[in-house]
Amino acid sequence: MKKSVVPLLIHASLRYFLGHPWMTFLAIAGIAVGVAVVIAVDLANQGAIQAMHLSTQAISGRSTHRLVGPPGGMDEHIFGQVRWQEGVAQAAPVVEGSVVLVKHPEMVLRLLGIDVVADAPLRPHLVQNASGVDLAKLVTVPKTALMSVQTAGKIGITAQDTLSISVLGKEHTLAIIGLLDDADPLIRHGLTDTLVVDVATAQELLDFFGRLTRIDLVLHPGSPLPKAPETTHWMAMAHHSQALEGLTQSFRLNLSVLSLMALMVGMFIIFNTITFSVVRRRHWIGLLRAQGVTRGELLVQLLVDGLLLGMPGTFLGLIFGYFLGQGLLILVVRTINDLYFGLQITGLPLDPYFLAKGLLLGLGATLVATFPAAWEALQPPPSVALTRSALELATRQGVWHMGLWGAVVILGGMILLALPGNNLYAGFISLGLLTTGAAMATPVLMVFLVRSIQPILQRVGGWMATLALAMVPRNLSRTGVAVAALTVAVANVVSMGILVDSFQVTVEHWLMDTLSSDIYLSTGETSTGAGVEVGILDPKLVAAVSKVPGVASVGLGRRVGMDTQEGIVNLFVLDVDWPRYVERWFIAGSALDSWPRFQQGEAVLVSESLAFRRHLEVGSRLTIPTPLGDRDLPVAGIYADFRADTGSITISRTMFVRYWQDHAMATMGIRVQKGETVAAVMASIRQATAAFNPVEIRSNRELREASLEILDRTFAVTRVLRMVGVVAAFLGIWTALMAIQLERGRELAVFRALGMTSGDLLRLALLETGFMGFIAGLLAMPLGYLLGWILVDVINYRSFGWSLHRVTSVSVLIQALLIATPTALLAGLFPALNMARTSPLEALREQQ
Amino acid sequence: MWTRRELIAVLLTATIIIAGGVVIGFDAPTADTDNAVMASILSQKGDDADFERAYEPREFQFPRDHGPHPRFKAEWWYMTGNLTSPSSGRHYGYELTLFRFALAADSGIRPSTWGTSQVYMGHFALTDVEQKQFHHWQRFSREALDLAGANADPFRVWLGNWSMTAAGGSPWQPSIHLTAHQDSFAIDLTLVAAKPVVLQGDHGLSRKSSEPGNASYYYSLPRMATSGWITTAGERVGVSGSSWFDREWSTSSLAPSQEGWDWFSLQLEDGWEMMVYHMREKGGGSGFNSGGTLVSPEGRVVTIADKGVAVEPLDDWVSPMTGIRYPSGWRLRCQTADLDLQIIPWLQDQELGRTMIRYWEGAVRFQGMHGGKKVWGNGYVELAGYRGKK
Repeated sequence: MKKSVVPLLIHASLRYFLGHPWMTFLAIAGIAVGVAVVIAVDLANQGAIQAMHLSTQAISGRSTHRLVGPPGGMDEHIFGQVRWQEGVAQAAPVVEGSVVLVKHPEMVLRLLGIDVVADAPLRPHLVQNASGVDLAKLVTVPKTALMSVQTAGKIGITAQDTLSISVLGKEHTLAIIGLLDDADPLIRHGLTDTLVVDVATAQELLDFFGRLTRIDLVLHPGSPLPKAPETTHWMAMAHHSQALEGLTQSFRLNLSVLSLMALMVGMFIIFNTITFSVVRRRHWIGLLRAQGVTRGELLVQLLVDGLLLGMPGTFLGLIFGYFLGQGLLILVVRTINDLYFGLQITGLPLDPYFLAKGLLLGLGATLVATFPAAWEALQPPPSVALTRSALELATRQGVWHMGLWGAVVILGGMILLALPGNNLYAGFISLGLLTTGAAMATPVLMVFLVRSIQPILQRVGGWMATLALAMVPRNLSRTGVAVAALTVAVANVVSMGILVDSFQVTVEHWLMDTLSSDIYLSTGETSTGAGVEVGILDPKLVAAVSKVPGVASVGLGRRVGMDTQEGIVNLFVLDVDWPRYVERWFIAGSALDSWPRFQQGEAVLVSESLAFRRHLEVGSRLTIPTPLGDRDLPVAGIYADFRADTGSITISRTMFVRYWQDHAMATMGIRVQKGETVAAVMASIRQATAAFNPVEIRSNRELREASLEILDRTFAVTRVLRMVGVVAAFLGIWTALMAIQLERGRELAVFRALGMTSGDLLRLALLETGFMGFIAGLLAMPLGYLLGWILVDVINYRSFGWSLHRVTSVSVLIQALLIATPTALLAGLFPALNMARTSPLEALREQQ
Repeated sequence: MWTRRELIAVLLTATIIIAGGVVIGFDAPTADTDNAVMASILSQKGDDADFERAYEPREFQFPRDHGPHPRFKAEWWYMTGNLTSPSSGRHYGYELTLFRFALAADSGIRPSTWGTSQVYMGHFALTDVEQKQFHHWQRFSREALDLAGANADPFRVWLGNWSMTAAGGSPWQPSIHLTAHQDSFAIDLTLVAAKPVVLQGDHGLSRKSSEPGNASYYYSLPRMATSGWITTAGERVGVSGSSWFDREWSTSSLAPSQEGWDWFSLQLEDGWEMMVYHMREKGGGSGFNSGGTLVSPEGRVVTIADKGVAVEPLDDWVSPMTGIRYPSGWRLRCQTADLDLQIIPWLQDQELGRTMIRYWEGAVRFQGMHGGKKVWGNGYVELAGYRGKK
């Protein structure tokens, strides 16, 4: 018997689907949109990550580490020792120093001596930008140099000109054999005031024979750090902006969160589509049951029906998602191109993983969604199932149960969040639980909201608004799931907005506060003089700079890379007379309270991510390897640091002198007196330091602007991707609401027969969908805020150990209403227009 | 008459000029970019007039001529060989080549030890037949400090830990110690020349056109008994076999009229060796220049005249890495020598696809008839100038 019935039922299903082409189309479209959103966002993410990767490389070059020698430079033979060592992929020698221009004594240029043969793989942009330059000449002809177009323009020389320079009191004439330029402002910034010469030329000009300033290297990822030769030490590569590494990671986190959100929205869209398609066939199911078809047979059939819709839907979704993804990719790449440089990423291949994910989502979510809906539809006896009112009654009763269960699920998510420990996956699971719970509670909240608004609306809104609002909970079997899906989609968009804003605003403020000096002066790893200690500042020079008119105060610093099991941890040594970290960047402890102990070298400050990774609190002790052996030191405070997520430790110079027995400082931060311009003071400092070994003087503004520019770019891409989420939610909701309105032809015809004009009907339908959208928007605000809170304080924190200042702008919340309401209105428009055009008689006659 | 090494120079120049153009504009930093950047560095358009040229046969002197000739623009030490593990019977092939390029003719003495006009390039390749694996690496360095360089007496050429060092023998019939180490792969081999130096072409002057000076100096050690160790993916195996050493230096800047060449070095089990080159005309025409040498078991050299040898491809293979289609398997006939051989690669994929110049250089085996008797053996084949589908 069963064997003969099932094909018959499939036949019946097909007849039903073909007989209701609009409904069938919208159901398939709903599934397709759900799948497409996920595929498209994944593809766009993949492209964005690739693009980000490329741009990071372009900015920082490809070196991962530096080998730095003692003051005075390292023996040049060390290069031969490390070059072919295991674990070293590339290595390039560098001799660096400063020179003064004879005709422009106020200008100090950085002399960068490289070996183009070894450097090609490390700094391709440097060599590539020397287009049309005979690089061989740079190697073979003494005293040849390249310089940036900008600097050349500033001093009024062109390629093939000569340039007189003064180094260590001796004058030399350099032949400029080519100019360097780059579209990227950061690279351009890096090239500014720089003379690129061959390493041999640099040694000859700087009288730096037999020595190198440093060696830049690319180490194989994963291989252990080779042992540093005697007198040298490793440093993780310092980027133009140290915030960059962390930003790249946070950018990736944003993208994976977005992908997860797309998955949730996609699932809800499919769930809504299937639930609707089952629910609206209750009458038909009742008829079949009255004819003797058993529940089991019908359950099988509804599952098969689900697959009949799910398969074409998934298939179309994959195709649509692929093309949507390509389109988004173009958008993403264009955004990056506007900001960075010409990238060539088009036609990404569809990763089999995405394909599998899309298939699993499309078919899996379809089947999972079919079960509860079918189960519910099959429970009542056939006679009851035939009446719609019974369904609505049951739904309204079920709503409270559902709401209760939703509250339980939310509670479960909250408990999971409150559990001690910092498991990232637990964070993601509770995010999922909270979303699901909120969706379950949405119908009951909707009923509650409608009841609260109704009395007010009755007084001010007139009968039609009252009627439209009342109809929302009346059709709860349809509207409940749709509003829930809309709420979830919009809440996700809101929460992403909160995450992105919090990231950007926090890091921006942090950058402003930490890069607090006006002028930076260094020799450090980037400058070399001859005869004296290299990499450190001459104390006489420090004294001279302090006396320059216009200088308010100076601070000294040094960064030492400490090799630990978790990678290289930066040790910052500070000699400043004002707390470098302002109070608000203290996560624990107080800047002012800890200052005396810090200054006296009795305690250390650690970054938040280090504290997070090593479970440190104020008062805990941290073991630091020093040249005098391991030292157990108390932690006096924890500060925010958005650089590398391995974290950093800050100690005072007093402590550095005590345990490292090293007085050397490498950088100088200068604050300019009020009323003085930075440029003027910089010029005075240049003059005051001209007598000393060359130093590098940079205005903070440039550095800060460059860092902020990276920040803006990074988040510009995230914003584009977030808009993708908005569009996806829009499409999904649009199909859902349109299906609901199309189904209500008969009901609206009754109103028509009762004397409403087609204009009235249009207004009624729009008011109704508008209310649904408005309600979803209202509900999405607290939910979005909650999800945003979890993203910022849980997911982000557990990923990086960074506390962000949660920024919830009103505009992000208002966006919820702005997305939800017009979406819903638009969705109502087409069916309402359609209905207004149909004659009421025809609509009444139409079978349900 | 062109030899393959001269064509390498020509092809290098061409690659370099083309790549130099590609370098302009942004590209993702990849191995290709590195190669392009290196190519642009080596693509100086300096005046070749300052360099020495090969005008007429010279008096070869050894060990002097095993060492570098920096007054010539380009030079190479080219070692290839087939090796077998006596214990397991596994077959291996290897290539270790060190190239020297002069960026300028005059390398005046400079105070800095980094001052030089000589740049070295190295190619190292291993063929593991049983594992069906081919590995290859490329490296560059300037000749400075002791990073890379060459010496005549005692003979030594090196680029980091890739080196060829004298290990006894006589100047005309030397023994050489080879070492190369990269990641978890290495060779450590001792080569003993079984025959003395063979001067190729006209007493070692290999002319490429009628124009004087467009020629190179070229000699070979066609059979070097080889034994030692090979390490693949960390596994060290004792091996023995036979190698072929090619040496050449020149200053040539001719524009290529050919698209590329096929080169064969074959070591016959009956004690003969054969070197054959076959030039391919642009547009697929048959090679005008082809020929080579035969070396008898006693070391007598027989020159094979132009068109004295016919090479016919039997199959082809498309590289998955570069998309280039290479012939794969040949029938080689030479009437002068009464020779008819079928040659097949030990492994199809022996392409150096990530190097500055892309080419196929691989271990081959062959069998056939020589002087009416059955013969077999191993060798190396080089396929250069093939292009990918556009």
